[in-house]
Amino acid sequence: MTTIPAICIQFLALVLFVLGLATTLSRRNLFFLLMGVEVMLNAANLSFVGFSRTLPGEASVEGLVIPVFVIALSAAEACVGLAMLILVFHSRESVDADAYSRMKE
Amino acid sequence: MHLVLLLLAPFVAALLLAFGSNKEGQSSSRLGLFLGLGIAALAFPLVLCGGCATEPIAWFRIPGISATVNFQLGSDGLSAWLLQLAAWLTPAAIWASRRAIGDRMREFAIWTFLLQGTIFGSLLATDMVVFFLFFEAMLVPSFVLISGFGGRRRRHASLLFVIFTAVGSAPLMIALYFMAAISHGTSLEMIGARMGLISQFHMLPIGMSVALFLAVVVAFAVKTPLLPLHGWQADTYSEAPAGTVALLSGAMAKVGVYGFIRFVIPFFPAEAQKYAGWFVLAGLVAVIYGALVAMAQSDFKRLMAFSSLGHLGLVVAGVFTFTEGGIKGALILMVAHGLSAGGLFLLLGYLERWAKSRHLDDFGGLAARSPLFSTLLVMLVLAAVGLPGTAGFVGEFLILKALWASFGPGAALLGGLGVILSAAYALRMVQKLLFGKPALPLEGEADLTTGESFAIVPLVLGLIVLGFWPTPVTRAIDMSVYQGWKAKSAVGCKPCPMKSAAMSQCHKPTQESADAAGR
Amino acid sequence: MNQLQHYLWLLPALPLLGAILNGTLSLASTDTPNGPSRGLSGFIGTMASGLAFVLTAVLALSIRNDEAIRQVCWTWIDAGSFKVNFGFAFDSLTAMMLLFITGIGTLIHLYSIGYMAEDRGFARFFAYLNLFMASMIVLVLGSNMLMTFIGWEGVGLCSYLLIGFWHHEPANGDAARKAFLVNRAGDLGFLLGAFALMALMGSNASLEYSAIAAWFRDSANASILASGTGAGLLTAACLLIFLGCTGKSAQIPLLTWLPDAMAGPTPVSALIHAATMVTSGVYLISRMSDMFVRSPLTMSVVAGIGIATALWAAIAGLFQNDIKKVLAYSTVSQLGFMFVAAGIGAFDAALFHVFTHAFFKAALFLGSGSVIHALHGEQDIRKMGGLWKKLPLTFGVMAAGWYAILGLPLGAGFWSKDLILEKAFVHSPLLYVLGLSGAVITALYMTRLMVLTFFGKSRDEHAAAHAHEAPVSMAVPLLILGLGAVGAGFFWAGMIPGMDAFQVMISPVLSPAQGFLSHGTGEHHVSALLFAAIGTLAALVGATAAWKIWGGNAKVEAIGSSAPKGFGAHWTNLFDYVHALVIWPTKAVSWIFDKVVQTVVFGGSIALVQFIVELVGDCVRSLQRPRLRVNLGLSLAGLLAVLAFFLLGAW
Repeated sequence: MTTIPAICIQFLALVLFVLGLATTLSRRNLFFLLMGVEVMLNAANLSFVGFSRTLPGEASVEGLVIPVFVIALSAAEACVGLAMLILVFHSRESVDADAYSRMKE
Repeated sequence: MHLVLLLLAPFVAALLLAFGSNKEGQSSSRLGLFLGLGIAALAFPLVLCGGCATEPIAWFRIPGISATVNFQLGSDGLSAWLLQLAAWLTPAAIWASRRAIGDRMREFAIWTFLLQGTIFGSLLATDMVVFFLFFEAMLVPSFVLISGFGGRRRRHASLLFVIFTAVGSAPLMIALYFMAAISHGTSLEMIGARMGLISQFHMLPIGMSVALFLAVVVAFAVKTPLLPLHGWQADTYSEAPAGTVALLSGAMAKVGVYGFIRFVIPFFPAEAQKYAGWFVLAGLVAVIYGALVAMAQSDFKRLMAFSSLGHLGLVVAGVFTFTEGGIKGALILMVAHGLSAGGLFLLLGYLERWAKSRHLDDFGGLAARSPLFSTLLVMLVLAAVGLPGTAGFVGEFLILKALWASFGPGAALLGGLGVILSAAYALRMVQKLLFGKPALPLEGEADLTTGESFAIVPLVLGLIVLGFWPTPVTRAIDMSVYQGWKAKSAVGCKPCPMKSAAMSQCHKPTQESADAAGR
Repeated sequence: MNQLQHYLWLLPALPLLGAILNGTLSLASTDTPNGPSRGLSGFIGTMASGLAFVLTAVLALSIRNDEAIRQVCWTWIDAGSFKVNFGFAFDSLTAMMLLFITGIGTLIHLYSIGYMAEDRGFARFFAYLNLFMASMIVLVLGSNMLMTFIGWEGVGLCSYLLIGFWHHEPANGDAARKAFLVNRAGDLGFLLGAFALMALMGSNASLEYSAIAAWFRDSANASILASGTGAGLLTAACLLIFLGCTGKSAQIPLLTWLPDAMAGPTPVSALIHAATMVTSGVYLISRMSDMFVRSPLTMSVVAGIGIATALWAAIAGLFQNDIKKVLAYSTVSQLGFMFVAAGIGAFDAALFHVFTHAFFKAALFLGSGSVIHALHGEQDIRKMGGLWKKLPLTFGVMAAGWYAILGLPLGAGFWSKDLILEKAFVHSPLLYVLGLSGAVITALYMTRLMVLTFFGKSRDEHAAAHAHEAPVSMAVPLLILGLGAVGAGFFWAGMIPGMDAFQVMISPVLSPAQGFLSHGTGEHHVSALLFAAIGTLAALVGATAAWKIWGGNAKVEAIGSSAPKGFGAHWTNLFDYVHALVIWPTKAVSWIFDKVVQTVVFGGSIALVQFIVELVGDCVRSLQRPRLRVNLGLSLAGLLAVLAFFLLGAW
């Protein structure tokens, strides 16, 4: 069985992260914003898992545990985020992030 | 254990109110009164037992430096008596506010209990970081109470209050961090084993220790308030609801003076000694200034605010005489002022509700209209101006005597002039309210009901009893700060067996905590 | 040891209980139209005072003249080495004071039952009156200066409450407030004097009267008094305590409140502002005579202030048209005579005048109250006249009082005032001449009062037609006091051998001090008869002159208010002008502090800070872009910048 070199996994994570970031920065639709955040989180997870393989024995466990926390966190974030999004949508009739500004110019 | 229970009690009471009572105001006020009296009953044994403390528990390490924060509660005569003020004024405030607040009573009572809890915490904390946490936490419930239940200009008043106090205590936080950093593992104890920490201060460059001293002083001077830093007081006291301002002036402001006694003087003995004259001067100027400005006020709550400024000025002057009489007088005067000012604010709160006005010229003839109200008002006013036979007199007498002994006849004369002027503005208020014919028709009930007077009568009785028998308060001091000061001075003290027992009871755990921190 | 010492606390406690009961009755009956039962309130009030009198009499009979019984109830103030007891001491001086205080007090309580019968605040009045009795008893019974101070401020408080008793009239409130504040100024003197005394006595200072007297009598302390600081402190203590006395006893400069105090009900004027409270200054000086005699400067000041007040007030009395105001200035003037006696070291004579004055002035005040009662509130003597036929009893009693105050033979004033003048002559002939002229003016204004009120034709027929004699409860006290006005002097009738019970009684307390003064000067022997003759002559001169001026059918027109006009007004208000010199600057400074310092300086600095914060906030806010993506991008850029900075720095 051939092992994928660790550096490849990190590159993949980097690509994923940049994609997520680009989505977050470029889209105005709030759903895409949330998706971008999810993608970035998963990129970080991937990076953790990839590094955990490079560590010997017991030390590698930590790299596997943290993604579990992050998954729980992102689940919560998605829950709350979507719920808020729906509420906001009800009041504003829009999913455009720029339309929500109440800050004075 | 008792102390932990006592600290938790207000928070539990707030929880009970939040979940236990229904939205209707009457039942919340009854539950609040019941819980408040329960807490007060729980707090009362503190003045009887003298000194006591819980076992210290290492709580957390301050990041970046080696100091450990211990969670330990302690009480001695000084904190016990100030704690009584917060304990007894809370049920009185809740009970007296029940018609003015109406159906929002539940929220009011919850936040009042939270305020009480934070005051308890700052009086019971022995570690200075814990003290600071509670000291700052007091802001939150006060802010909510003022901005949520206050008068017309409540937003302005609450913001002013929060900004003044928060900005004032910011330097304290920095100073605390610094002090913790140089503590090198000694405990951050305020009561008891602080010698290690003070000895560290001696190695500081002189400018540094003065800067630390000033940073600490500013925080307490704002809270008290001491003269140039009193800008928040008049607006806050006049806009806050009566029940809240009774607690603010009666109990919370005293934590500022408590800070001076417990924090400034023990930690910076040299600086305190060096600048004592300035503090006495500031206090005495506040006495005269407060009384004179009060004379010119037409809003009775503002009048009372400046009156408090003067009284606390005299208290601070008494503290900085560093004499036994001065510090005892200061404590009695604090207790007396807490009761009388608290009672007066509550009483004037009734009036404010009847008239929807705080303007003295809108009133008149209340002596004929509301005899019970008038009787209580006159009694509290007389207590506030320090008539012999009320607790205020004992305090003023001891402070003036200490001022004469330490700073000469001029200081006593200045303080005494304030006493005359205080009678002038207080009787002016009585004159405008009670004499003559009503200027405006008053709505509302004709007089206090018997039930309403129950919020005030105990305060009046307390003032009279302590006026004739102040020994419980004066003796309390023997067991706390003053012993510490005396021990430091060259003159040795010979505490009587009972006192020394109380002292050792108080000191043993703190010694252990010092060891624990050392490890 | 005397068993009775355990009951001393009952003396103030009884009236206090009466005050509490009556106060509760008054508050509890707010909703009823007439208030509580007159009989019950009056009974409680009078009994409380009467029982105190009985107890005083029992105590007074059971002690020897040179004995004092003490009761220490508890330690009141405990500040380390300095302790003050809550305790009472009863010696012959206290006994004498208490006998007439509770005795006359009880009579006035009785009188008030009739006088106040139609007043809605009947129970409240008796509560205040009882509270006053309790305070006054504490004042003279206290075993130390601070106990006296409780009573001292307590009587001031009751005076305040009773002057402002009819609170619907704002002017009464002003008068009450003035009385309280002027007294408070004096009280500050009292307190500061006590501090000075403690500073003088040094480490083991005590405020117990016995300790103070012992300290001053101890020859070991003479060197302290001789030193510069010691002498300064002694003078300061004496002068400051005397300042307290001038406040309470309405002497120059703190006397303006007493004439205004006549706004209160007449029994109050009789009890508080004539017989008892205003004499407490004389009591205090006598009680601390051991201290005062060692400060010759203060003694001269006391005598000087006394004679100045006596003359000034007597002249002011000439200008008054209000029957009670005449008596008020008369009281001030008589108090001046008492201070003259105290100032020349004749404390026993001063106290004897206090004693006799209490009787005849109470009789005069109650008599004037009866007149006012009969005329339904009319107080202007220019509108009276010819009343002696309508009010024979009142006239008789007031005539007795008049006879006594003039010092005509065998009246009470004859013995006490002539005693003072006699001692004044020994001390300084000038003082005697001034005192004698004071006596002439006294005769002048008192005779004017009597003539205008009771003789001639009635000048207000309508009011006089409805005049009626006082009811029984008022008549009995009037009669007793009228008899007292004539007879009280026989307790120390100097010229009659054996009639000196008064002096024998109080001399053990005062003789050390008086002995200290007369030590070395020797006894002067003067003919008492000659002085009595001159004094009587002076009174007769004044009385005759007054009869000539105002007697017969002299035209007296009552125009406008009863307040004096022209020069009389300026003379009367002389010390009000002096007070204004203090009051106006205070008010001005108060205004400046409020409007300028508080509003402009402190308020301005707060506004300035607010302005700066808003300015900065506005600037910073303009940097904020309300676009989520932009914000996110900028934060990312910032993060990268920080990272780059540190990474590059690390390289």
